[in-house]
Amino acid sequence: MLSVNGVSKKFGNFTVLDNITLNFENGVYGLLAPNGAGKTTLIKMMMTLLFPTQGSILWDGVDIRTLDADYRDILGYLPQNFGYYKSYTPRQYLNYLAALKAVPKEQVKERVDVLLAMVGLSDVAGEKMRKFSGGMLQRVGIAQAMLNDPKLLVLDEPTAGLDPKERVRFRNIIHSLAKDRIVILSTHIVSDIETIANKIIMLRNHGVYCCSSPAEVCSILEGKVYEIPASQPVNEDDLILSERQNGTETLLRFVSNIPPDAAEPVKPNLEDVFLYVYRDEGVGV
Amino acid sequence: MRIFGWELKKALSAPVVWGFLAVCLLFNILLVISNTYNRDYVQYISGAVAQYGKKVDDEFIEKLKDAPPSDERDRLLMSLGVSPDDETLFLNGSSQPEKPAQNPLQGIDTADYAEAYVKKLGLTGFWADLMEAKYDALQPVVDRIVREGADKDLYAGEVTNDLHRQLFDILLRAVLTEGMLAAFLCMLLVLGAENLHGTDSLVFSTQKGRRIVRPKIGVGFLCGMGFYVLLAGGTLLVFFLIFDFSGIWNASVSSQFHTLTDDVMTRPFFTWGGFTVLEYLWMQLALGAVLVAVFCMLGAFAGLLFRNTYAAFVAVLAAGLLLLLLPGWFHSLNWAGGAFAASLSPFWVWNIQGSWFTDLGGNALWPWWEITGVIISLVLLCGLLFAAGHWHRRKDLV
Repeated sequence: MLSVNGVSKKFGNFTVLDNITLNFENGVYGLLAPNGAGKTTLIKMMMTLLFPTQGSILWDGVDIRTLDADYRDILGYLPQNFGYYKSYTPRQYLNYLAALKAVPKEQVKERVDVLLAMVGLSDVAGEKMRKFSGGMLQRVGIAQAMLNDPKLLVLDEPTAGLDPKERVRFRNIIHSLAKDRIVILSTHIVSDIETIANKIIMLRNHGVYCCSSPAEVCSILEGKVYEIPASQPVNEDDLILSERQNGTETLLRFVSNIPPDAAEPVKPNLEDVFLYVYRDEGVGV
Repeated sequence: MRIFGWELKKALSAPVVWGFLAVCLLFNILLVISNTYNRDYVQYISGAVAQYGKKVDDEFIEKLKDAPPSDERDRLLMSLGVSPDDETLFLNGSSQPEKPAQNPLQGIDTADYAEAYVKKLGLTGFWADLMEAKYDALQPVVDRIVREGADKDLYAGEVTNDLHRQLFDILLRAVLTEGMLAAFLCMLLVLGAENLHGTDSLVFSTQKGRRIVRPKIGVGFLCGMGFYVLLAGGTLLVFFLIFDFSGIWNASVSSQFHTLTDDVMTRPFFTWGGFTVLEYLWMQLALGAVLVAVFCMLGAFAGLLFRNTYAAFVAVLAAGLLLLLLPGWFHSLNWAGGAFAASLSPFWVWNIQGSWFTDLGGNALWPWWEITGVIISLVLLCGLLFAAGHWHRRKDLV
């Protein structure tokens, strides 16, 4: 089990994260917050790339700094904007990372073959990665993260830059990987996690806003989300979340404590909560 | 070893590395072939030495005069003060037959050198005593060279200074400079590769983690030394294909024809070890290799300290320029201690490369000064590298 105990991180006088406490057990966690909220900083601390200013991160009760290489041995990490060597083929790239991950030499070939097949890159395993699309590169990234069959798999903004088709494909891959391990999926795109995450972690004001199941998170707005034809007025205090087409009609989706008569109550979803929680941080329509 | 192999492959697959090496080699070859006007003469001297011996004495001159006439023979005889036609001295229009001096360097008192440098640098007390002690230590070396007759070696006759300068001051200096730069840049490139490729987060979070800098430093070291060997080997191969040194190798570099000039005086080229040309070449190459190793370590230190390769390069370049200016500046402030301490830096040791293993005039306070400087640099950089490695293991990789 991974425990984040009262972790704070400062860069100079600037506090990025303040007193974060979280516990992770097997399952998929969606780390949801707008850009700049500290998601990547929290993840980099879990990856031992940054060290907490205060607090500690424990794996099965032992500080990850003490565990050092033993801890990193159980990590799988796909960083945001992960780099690669342009002249390498996916096979060379995975072979190199397998060496860094101390995958036994005799297992590397088989492991690389399995992972390339899993992400659908077997046909291009010998081609230089400089020719690859963003989606193909991201699939190489997933494959490398799985090389050591990690107990803790962390994916930072994994769908950034992918087209809708690639994103669906990507979600399916994640779903298949989620058994018997902790998967932390950091994103600011709600649709990436709403169907696959067991728990949603939202960060706000440098701290944890919530860490609950999607249903519990959505219950924050239970009975407060409505839809109304765009031609109808809403109250000045109401927060407009989104709009959608319904046949020839455009419907506004909004949060209200006292809705207009023409408004129809609807079931809140994660995106509603995201837009509502981060309404003061430049998020929303 | 697996990771070492991968890192080596990564370093050697960088086109910029081979491009730099090719440009350096091309430059060095141009340096060699643009200055070959002494080639035939050097070849003749080599042959003459092989046939008549390396020492200039009566027997040598007699044999040379009996040699088949040629422009090179006449030139060599004239340079020895003997007219090729009437056996008269060819110096200052004198018609008196005269033999070359039997002991050209006999009577040299190195205390005179000490006095000149003490006066020039304005040294007093402790520093003046050290300078005088250095030249006291040189006197037995001079006496031994004279006693053994090494000063009578022909070396390359009257083109000795030119030839020695071309090989040691120009070519070996170019090789050393390029080797140091290649080693330094190679180390920076190897250590900064993940930052340049954006793979640092990925690589440092693997099981190997930050300990990957160890094989990386090993690879940088191997590449740096390897490039120095390739540069030296390639350049010297071309040089010795053009210039025949077969008869010159065993000549003493303290030949009567060889002088060392600085802003105080021109004096014979005495080395502490009384080296022959071959020995001096090996010593230059060996100390050059150690200096290249120092720059490998400097690159490793800068590479650990700065994540950005360009920032590391600029920082060390600035430090190097400062260290090159410091000795002169401290002397102008009459701070001899600071000036001599600064002249032990690896940058200053590089700066005086052409005079290595000599008394080094006002640049040194004791024998083998350049070796002292390199050893101090090695020890200091070992400590700094250890501290930087420790710091790197605990620093945030933002």
